[in-house]
Amino acid sequence: MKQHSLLNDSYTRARIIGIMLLIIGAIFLIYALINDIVLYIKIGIIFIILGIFMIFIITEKSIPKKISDAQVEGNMDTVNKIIKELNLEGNAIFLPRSGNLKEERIFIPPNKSGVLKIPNAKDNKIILISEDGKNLGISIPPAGVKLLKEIEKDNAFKNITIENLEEKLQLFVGMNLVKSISFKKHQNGWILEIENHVPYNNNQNFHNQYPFPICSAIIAIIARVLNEKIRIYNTTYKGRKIIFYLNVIKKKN
Amino acid sequence: MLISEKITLFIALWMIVVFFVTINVMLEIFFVLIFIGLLVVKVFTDRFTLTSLKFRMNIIIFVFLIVFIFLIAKKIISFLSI
Repeated sequence: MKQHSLLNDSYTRARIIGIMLLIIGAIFLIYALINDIVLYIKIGIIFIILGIFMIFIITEKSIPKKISDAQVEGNMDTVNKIIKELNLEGNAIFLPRSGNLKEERIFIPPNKSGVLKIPNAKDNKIILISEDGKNLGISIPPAGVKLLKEIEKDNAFKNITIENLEEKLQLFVGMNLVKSISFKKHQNGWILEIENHVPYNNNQNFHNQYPFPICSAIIAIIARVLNEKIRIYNTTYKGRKIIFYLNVIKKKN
Repeated sequence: MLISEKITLFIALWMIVVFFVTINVMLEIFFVLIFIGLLVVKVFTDRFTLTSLKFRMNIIIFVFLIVFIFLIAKKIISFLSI
């Protein structure tokens, strides 16, 4: 089994290198100031600035990608099995936060076609059943809702509007969660293009019903900004890109 | 590669370039060029970074700004004394 030492962690490695650079820089600077050598002052400054950057800027701790993926995939498989077991065929509808919901939810109706009836979802209800005992679908938290909460601790999505939404979503690119994101208006709905670092290997129907955490976190933000119910009416794949076709389910007056 | 690692890498490369460009030039110009590089990185990476990273970048820029003001003040004083 592969041993993981402290030096394998990029965060710890950056700190150790940073401290070493600071020490080397300080030695250069002191030597240069004593002997009045400008060139050594410059070298000293370079080492000190680099050391500061290594210590104060590279601060994210990370775990290997395959470990984090394995954690996510376990939960995704469970949800997939529940969806199959309940025989739900409809595509996901993202419900924004409201009086009944403290956080965003995904509603999966039983049928793909037909008149779409969205029952009142509540935080404590998962399986939605009508008064006559008919299964109306399920309402579950999106896989990315925790991820979204974690990012929001940083007030990252404060003052977000539909105009600056695409710009704010670039944060996911900056965090290295995805390679690129684009969000555009398309006919009566929206197109969300997410490029991953590796090709998607899950089946298409599952992405229509219960998207991966990053995708669902992004769609949850969209639902929140628009303050509307957002339905995934289709998804397509282009290599590492997944394209979500979204439309808004207007509120009935 | 994380955005913070990209920023550090860019600054490292920029400082090496500045070092060779200003090898026979005054220390002040060397410092100001590094400061400009920092400001450029800040502007171009702002939309990709979390508030905590922005805050840490701002602290570094603030320190540079103080040194920059000091350099300007020194220049003005030396200019006026002539």
